[in-house]
Amino acid sequence: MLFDDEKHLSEFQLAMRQFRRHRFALFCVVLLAGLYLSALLAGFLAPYSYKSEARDYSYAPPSRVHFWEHGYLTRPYIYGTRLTFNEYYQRIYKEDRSQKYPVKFFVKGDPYKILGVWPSSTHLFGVDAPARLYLLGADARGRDVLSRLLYGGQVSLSIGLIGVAISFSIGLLVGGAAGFYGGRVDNVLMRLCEMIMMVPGFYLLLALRAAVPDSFTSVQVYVAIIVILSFIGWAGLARIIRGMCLSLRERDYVLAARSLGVSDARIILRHILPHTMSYSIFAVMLSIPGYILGESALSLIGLGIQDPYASWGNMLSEAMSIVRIHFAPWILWPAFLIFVTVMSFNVIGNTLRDCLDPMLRGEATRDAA
Amino acid sequence: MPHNLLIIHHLTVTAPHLDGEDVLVDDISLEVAPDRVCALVGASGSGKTTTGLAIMRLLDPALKVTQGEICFEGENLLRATAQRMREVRGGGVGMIFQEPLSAFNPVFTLGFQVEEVLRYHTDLRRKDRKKRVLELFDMVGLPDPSRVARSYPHQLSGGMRQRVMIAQAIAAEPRLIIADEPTSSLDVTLQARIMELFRRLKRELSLSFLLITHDFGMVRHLADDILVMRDGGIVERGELATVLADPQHGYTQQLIEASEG
Amino acid sequence: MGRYVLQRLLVAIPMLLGMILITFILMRITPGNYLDTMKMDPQFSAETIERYQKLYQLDKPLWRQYLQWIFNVCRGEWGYSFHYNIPVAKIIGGRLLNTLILSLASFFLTWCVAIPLGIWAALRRDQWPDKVIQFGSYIFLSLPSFFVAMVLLFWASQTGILPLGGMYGPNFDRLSLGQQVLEVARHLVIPATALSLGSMAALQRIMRGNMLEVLGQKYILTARAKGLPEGRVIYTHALRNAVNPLITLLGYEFSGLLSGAALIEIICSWPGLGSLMLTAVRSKDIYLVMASMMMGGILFLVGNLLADIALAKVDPRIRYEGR
Repeated sequence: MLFDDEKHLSEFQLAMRQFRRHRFALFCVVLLAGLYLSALLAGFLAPYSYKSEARDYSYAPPSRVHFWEHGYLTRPYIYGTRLTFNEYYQRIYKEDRSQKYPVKFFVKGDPYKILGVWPSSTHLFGVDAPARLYLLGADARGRDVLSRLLYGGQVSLSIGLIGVAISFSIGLLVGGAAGFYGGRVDNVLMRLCEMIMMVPGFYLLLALRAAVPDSFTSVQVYVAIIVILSFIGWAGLARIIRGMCLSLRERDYVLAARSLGVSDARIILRHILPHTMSYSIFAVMLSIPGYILGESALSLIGLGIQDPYASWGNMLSEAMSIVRIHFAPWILWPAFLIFVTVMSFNVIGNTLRDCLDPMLRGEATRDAA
Repeated sequence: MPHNLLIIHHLTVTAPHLDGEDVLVDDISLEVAPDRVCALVGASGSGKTTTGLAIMRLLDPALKVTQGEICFEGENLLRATAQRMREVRGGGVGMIFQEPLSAFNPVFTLGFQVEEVLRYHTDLRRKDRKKRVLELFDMVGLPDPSRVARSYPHQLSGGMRQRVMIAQAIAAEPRLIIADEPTSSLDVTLQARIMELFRRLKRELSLSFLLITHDFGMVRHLADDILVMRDGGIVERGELATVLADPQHGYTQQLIEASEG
Repeated sequence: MGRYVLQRLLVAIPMLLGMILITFILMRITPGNYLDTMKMDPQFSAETIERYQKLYQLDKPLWRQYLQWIFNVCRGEWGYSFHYNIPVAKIIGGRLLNTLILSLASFFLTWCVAIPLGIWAALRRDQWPDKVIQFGSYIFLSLPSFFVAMVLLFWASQTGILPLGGMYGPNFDRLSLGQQVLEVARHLVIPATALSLGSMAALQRIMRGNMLEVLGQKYILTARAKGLPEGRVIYTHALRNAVNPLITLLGYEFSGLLSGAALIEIICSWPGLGSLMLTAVRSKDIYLVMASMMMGGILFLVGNLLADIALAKVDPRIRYEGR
C-alpha cells in the first residue's frame, strides 16, 4: 500500500513538475486566479452596484482620470460631465472643468454583502455624487461597465465551476462503474452517454430551457441553467473516466489487490479513483469553457440570466447592435473577458494533458473507443 | 581495396545534447566484399543499428556524423546529393527491418508497397510492375503471391510479412542488403527458414549482406565474416571460422560461450 | 462492408428511439398542456382540438402516447406550430436545408484550411512558422464564435463589403440561378467564417499532432529506405495515416457544427434550424422545439453513420475485422 501511494504521487508530481516549466500556462493560472479573486471581492472592488443606474449618463465614455495638475503629480481626479448634443442629435459628453472630483479610496457607496453574508458598503475607490466614475464606460442605462463586469464575473465564472463539479461527480460515478465492471454494465451506460451526446448541445440547451417555467425567479433560473449544463456535460466526462478505469483495472497493483481479496469498493476508492481524478483534471479544465460559453450564449439571446443581474453573456446582448458598438465600443469588454478566461482554461488543460501524456498513452492503449 | 562493395572509414556518430554529446559510433572502419555475408554483432546499444542507418543516411536528425567516409561502390555516400541517395536507397543498398508489422504502412496493400519500389527505381510499365511483384513474391517463397499482393500487413503472419519485406528490399536489384535483426521477432522454425532464404538469395542474386544482429546462433549459420561491436567500437574482426576458433577479445569469448550454452 | 453498415444501422435505431423518448419526456415535463393554449385561442375550432386530442392520444395512458408519438414521427406528422400556424413538417424542411448549407460550407472551410496548415506546421516543427501558428490557434480556439460573428458584422458595417446578415437580399427571386448562388455565397461568408475559426484552430492542432506521431513511425523509415522521393513519403504514406483518426472525429465534429451553427444563425439572422428553434423556444411553441431537437439528433446520427462508413473505407484494419 505504501509503495502504491508513492507511485501515484510521483507520477502525478512528475507531471506537475513538468507543468511548472511552461511559463505561458503558469501565467494563465495566475490570470485565472486574479479573475476569480476579483469575482469574489466584486462588491469591494466595484465602485457601484450592478444595478445602480444613471440615465443621464447613458453610454458615457470611460472617464478621463487625471494624475497631473499644474505640472505636478497629484491625487487622481476627474471632472464633471456635461451632456450635449451635436447637429445629428447624438450624445456628446464633454468634460465640465468647473467641477473637480477627486478619486477617493475606501469610500462608502452602494451597499453589498461580502460573500453574500456580511453587509458592507465600503468600496475600494469612488467619487462623490453627482459625478460618476466610469473606468470602462457606461451601458445604456448608465450602469458602470466595470462594476457589472465584476458582478457578472461572479455569475459566469461560478457557473463554470459549479457546473463542472456536478458533471464530474456524476461522470465519476457512471464512468467509474462502467469502466470497472465492464461488460453489460459498461455497454448500457455508454449507450446512455452516447444518446445524450447525440443531440447537438445547443439544441438540447434550448429545449431544456424551454421546459423551465416562466415563473422562476432569477436565482432559480441560475440554478436551472447550472443543472441543464451539467446534464449535457456529464456524458463526455463519463466516457473519458470510463476509458481510464478500463485500463487501470488491468494494472498489476489492481490485480494484486484483487488476488488478496480486497473488496471491489475499496479497490475503486483507494486505487482507481485517485488515479482517475489526477488524470482527469485536464479533461475538467478543458470542459469548463463549455459551461461558460453555454451560459453566455443563453444569456446573449435573452434566455439566461436576466436583467438587472449581470452576467458577461447578457451584458453582450446590448452589443448585438452594430451601431452601438460603433459609438460605445466598451460594451465589448465582457467578450474580451470571456475570451481570456476560455483561453486560460484551454492553455492550462492542454498543457496538463501534454504533461500527463506519456503516462496517458501507456494507459490509453487498452481502450481505443 | 578499391573494388570492395562497401568501405567505411573512421566513422563517428554522436548525439549532441545540452551537457555535451554521447558517442554512439566511435571511429569505426569496416569493409564488405562482394558476395559475402558480413555479420555485425553486438549487444543492444553497441552502435550496430546506428551504423546501418548511417550507411543509408537515415539517422535521426538529432544525430550527427562528425567524421568519416562511407564509400559504396567507390562513391562517398556522406557527400552524395539527396537525389543520389534516393537512387542508392533501394537501388544500390536495400534494408530489411526487424519488426515487419510496424515496418509496413498499415493502410496500403503489400503489393502496392512493393510495387512502389519498382515504380521509382525502374522504367517498367504498370502491368509489368505487377507481374514483377508476383515474381518477387514467388522468389522469396510465398505461396499464392497474388493473394499476398492484395493483402494488408495485418492480415498476414509474421513469417510471411518478413518475406515480403525481403522481396521489397531486393526488388530494385541492390548489391548490398543491410538486414537489421531480421529474425528477432520470429520464432525458431521461421528463423531457420528465413536464414535459408538469405542463403539462397545470396547465391542466386549475387548479393552481399551486412547482417546486424545480437543473435550469435544466426551468425554461425550465415556469416562469412564477423565484426564484433561494443560500446560504439569494433573490438574484433575477421573471417568467421578464424574468430570462432581463436577469439582475441574477452568480449567475443563471452558471446561465443553464451551462444553455446 | 455491407455487413458493417448494417451493424452500425442496427446500433443507431435504438439510439434514435432513445432520443425520441428523451424529447417525449421533456415535452411532458413542460408545465402546461399545449392543448390549453389551443383551447384558449378562438381560431381553433372544436373539431380541430378534438382532432389533435385524438392524434396525440392525450386521453390515453402515457405509454400509449409515447407509441403514438413514435408512430406520428414515422408518418411525418410532427405536430403543429402555433407560432407559424402551419404543420411543423412544412416549415422544418426549408430551414433544415439552410442549416445544412451553412454547416457544410463551414465544414469545408475548416478542413481545407486546417489540414494543410497542420501539415505545414508539423513539417516545420518548432521553427517560427510553427510557433506562430500554434500561438494563433490557441487564440482562435478560445475566441467565442459569437464574438467573432459580432466583430465581423461590425467590420462589414464599416466597410460595406459583405452583407449584414440574412441569407439573401430583397431581389432574390428575380436573379438567375448563377446569381442566386453567388448571392447566397456572399451572405455565407461571415457566418461560415465565424463558425469555422474555432474548429479550424482545433483541427489544425490535432492534424499537426497526428502528423508528427505518424512521421515517427517505423514505416516512414521504411518508405525512405526504399528510396521514395520525400514528397511521396509525406503526402502519400504519412498523410493517409495522419488523416485516419480525424475521420472518427467527423461524427462529433458534425454535431458540434450543428450546435455552433444555431447560435451563429441567430446572430447573423441566417434562416436555419437553430434560429427556428430559438423562435420556437421564445414563443413556447412546443412541437416546433421538439421537432427541431429531434431533427438535430437525426442529423447527428446520419453524420456519424457517414463518418463510420468513411472510416471503414479508409482504414482497412477496421473493414476487415468487422469491428
